[in-house]
Amino acid sequence: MLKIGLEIHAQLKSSRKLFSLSKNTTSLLDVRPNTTTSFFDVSLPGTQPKLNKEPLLLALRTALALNCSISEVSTFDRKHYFYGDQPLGYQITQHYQPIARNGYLNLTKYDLPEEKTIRIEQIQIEQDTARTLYKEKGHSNVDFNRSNIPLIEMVTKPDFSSVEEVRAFIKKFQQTLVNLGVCTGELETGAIRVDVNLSVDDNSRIEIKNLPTTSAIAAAIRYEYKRQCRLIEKGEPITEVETRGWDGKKTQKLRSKEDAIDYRYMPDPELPAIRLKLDDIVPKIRATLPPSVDERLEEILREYDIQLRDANILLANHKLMEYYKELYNKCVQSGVPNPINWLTHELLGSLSKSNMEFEKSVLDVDKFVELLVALENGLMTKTNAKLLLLHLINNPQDQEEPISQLLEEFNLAKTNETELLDQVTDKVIFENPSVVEQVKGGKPKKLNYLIGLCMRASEGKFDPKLIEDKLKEKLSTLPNTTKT
Amino acid sequence: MMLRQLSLKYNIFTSIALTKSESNSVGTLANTSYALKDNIVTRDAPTTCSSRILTNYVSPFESTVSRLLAEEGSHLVGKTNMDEFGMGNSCLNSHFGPTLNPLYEQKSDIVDLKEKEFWTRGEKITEDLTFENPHTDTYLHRNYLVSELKSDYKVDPEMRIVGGSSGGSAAAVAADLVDYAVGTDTGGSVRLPSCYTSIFGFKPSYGRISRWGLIPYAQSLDTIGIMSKDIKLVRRVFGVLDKYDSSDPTSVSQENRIYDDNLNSKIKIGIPAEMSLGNLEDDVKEKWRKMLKQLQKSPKFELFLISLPSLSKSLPAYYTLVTSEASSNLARYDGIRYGYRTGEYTSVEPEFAKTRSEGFGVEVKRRIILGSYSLSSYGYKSHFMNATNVRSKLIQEFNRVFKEPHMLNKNHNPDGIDFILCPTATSLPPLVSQYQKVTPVESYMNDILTVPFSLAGLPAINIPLGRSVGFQVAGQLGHDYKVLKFAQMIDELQIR
Repeated sequence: MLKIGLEIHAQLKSSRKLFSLSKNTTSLLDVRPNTTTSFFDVSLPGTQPKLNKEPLLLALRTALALNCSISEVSTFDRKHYFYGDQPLGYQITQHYQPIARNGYLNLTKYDLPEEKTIRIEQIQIEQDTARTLYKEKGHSNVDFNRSNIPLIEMVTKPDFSSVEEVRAFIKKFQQTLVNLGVCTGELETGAIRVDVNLSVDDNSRIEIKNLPTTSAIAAAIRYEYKRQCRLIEKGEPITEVETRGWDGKKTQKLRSKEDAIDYRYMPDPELPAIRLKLDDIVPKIRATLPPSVDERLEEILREYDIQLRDANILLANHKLMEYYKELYNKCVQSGVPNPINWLTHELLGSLSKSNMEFEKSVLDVDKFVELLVALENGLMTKTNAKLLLLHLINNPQDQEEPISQLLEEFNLAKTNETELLDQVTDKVIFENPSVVEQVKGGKPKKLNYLIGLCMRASEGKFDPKLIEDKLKEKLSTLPNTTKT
Repeated sequence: MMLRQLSLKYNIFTSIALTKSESNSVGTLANTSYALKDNIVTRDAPTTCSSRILTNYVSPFESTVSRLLAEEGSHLVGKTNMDEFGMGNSCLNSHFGPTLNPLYEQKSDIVDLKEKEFWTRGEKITEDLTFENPHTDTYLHRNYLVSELKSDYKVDPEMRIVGGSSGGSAAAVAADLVDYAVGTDTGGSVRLPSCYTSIFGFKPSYGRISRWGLIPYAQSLDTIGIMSKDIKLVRRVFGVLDKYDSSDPTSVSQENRIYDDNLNSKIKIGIPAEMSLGNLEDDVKEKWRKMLKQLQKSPKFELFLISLPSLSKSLPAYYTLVTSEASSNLARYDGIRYGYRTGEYTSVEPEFAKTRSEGFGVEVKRRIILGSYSLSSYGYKSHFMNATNVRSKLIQEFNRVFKEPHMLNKNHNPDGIDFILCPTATSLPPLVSQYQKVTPVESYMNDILTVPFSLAGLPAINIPLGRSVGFQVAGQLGHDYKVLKFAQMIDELQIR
């Protein structure tokens, strides 16, 4: 039997760092190295930490949203180890008295075929480390921009029994943080980092680190499960706690119990304890929490009549959601059907093709509506509408021009000129005799191939239905050349 | 000239400023000069903690203490030598060689003075600094003198230790090179050298003077203190430094600060039975008797024998806690960002480890190892937590004898005493030659009379009484001005 627990670190999106006044640029990787660092962030002698209230508030919001009990008194401790990106020689964390304990997160019908509750052991506030930039052999640079950024570490109970549950939890956890506005929620940039604790048949627990993506997490769990099953079959189950890393293909031993680090935890001698008047502060914070992810999902599904998959995409990105609402309302006013597919498939698809991130500014909502109205009015084919969309996000200056003018300029307008259609279909039929034969020989699906060729030859100016009819008409008048 | 001559013989400073800075001529400390212990950062001079690991380190920011003193027009003469990172009570554990006691004759020079220089951006520090070419003319030039230990230096056989760790600060005052000095006191580092050099040495309540810019040794105890021959000047300087500072998380809030210095018409003085040791050396014992007799004669004072059972455990508790905190605080010195860096490494010894092996002195390394053990999974409960409990118990015992309420928890005994009085050291300062022979643990015993007040954070002051003898007055936490007033009162009795 497989048992999994997760330890998730999430960067908090506060404006300043945890214990200093330098800017928190969290996941922005394009900030010049060592420019958002204060004297404390590089541990200059004589500097002192001072807890900022904003990260504390963000941590409390998260703890309440995850149904935890907040501690009346919580304290900071030092966790010691030497590393180039750990400027103090220790990390300030909450080992003995964390800010919150005993929570849970429900995985509902929106997340899994069968509902499940994952219990949360504790949440603690701690500092992020700097970032090591590995250069040529034996040489590395350190960027302290990340040093002292606030993190929360959330530890679950070993409540997972499958990869699917782990995936669903991570997604739900990300959505919850984004929904609360406390974290960007991205794994790619390291704003969220996941470590996995895993045991098979109650043998010793293995910890897996260095898991950059959800698919790496899933692959590492599958690999480790199989590896341990084989060991159990051989009669050599794991007997010692061990930390393993993931190299993309397999898990590898990083350290065992004997060479485990003794972190020499010590209560921080100068940071005062966090003392909270729970009766006062908890209701106040609770009142500011947004509806939960499930509540928002239900609301979106009900209000916009879209699929769960699309609703999840919208929930994962606050800006996209706002954009969709505006787009939807304007489409309804203009008599255009629900634009959800155009948003989540076509716009996001075009953006990822162009290697761009979604921002409200990539395409003015009104322009988008204008495009969809033009399509609805039959001014262009769907294919050309997609082309124009791609063009508009890559050439924002053209968003100034009316769609009709652009259609003309690029010769994308839909046409019914039968003369041109005759030419195109004739050419395609002439150049593909074998396909024509197959169609006539009883493989009608091959017709789609011919339609595609006609679309391409006419640069998408004709409606596919129009082409289909024309082809059928022409093919039926062709003499049957099939050998009898 | 006297400054140079005495520095050559007694090795008082780690750096002496040659660039004269402008000072405020109307401040409350105008026309005063002072020396600053070299574990407090300043922009215009290096800050080394008398350690190789901070060789040539210049801080880009100013400590709150040196800023406040400059604002009031006091002139900084130089940074003073100390036991490396404050670890020691002799001022012999310095990378720059020992500081000697100016009350005793030293015939030959022990150091040479060399001129050095550096450039600083002063206050104009921005993020662009990281990318700036350092030879632009926006930098300020600073030069200063450093001492280099002579290879064949000889200490006179009758020379006694100056005490530590603020030995350089005490020596600067005792040799009349400055009007006052700023030191730091973790377990007696201001009071003991003050006692050995016959000056006043005041350790205020923990948290009253900002530690922003003080390089920590053990910051749950580290306290900045003031040393001078003039008790009134001590009080004036304390008035300048006694300010809430939002940069220091342990700074006492404004509403908790007590300024009252009214003494009762009859002052109750407690003498801890555990501290009137039978093993006081004769010279100290004689002065102690004299003092007690004189106090008994006056109708203003009433003497009581008190008992604080935890005192006997306070020395081991103290050394457990300070070494634990030190092992943590000194973890940052890895040579990567500043300070000394070896540039060498092997497959078994990474560069940061070699840097630390070479950068720290013997005593510092010893305390890091002791502290690492106390914090390890083997030692945490038996050592660190035990020591923490002794400390809490000691604080409760102090609350049971003092009449004034504790500044924070307000505990007190309405029928209690006003002050505790006891010797600062059990003997005259040991001869340097003698001290060099004792084991580290034996040397720790010199702190036995000073650490209890440090553990409880209490205000305490050394009152000089004859050559290299002194007595401590300690008061309840937060009642610093009463302690200072009482010290002045005793001084005015002119017991000699």
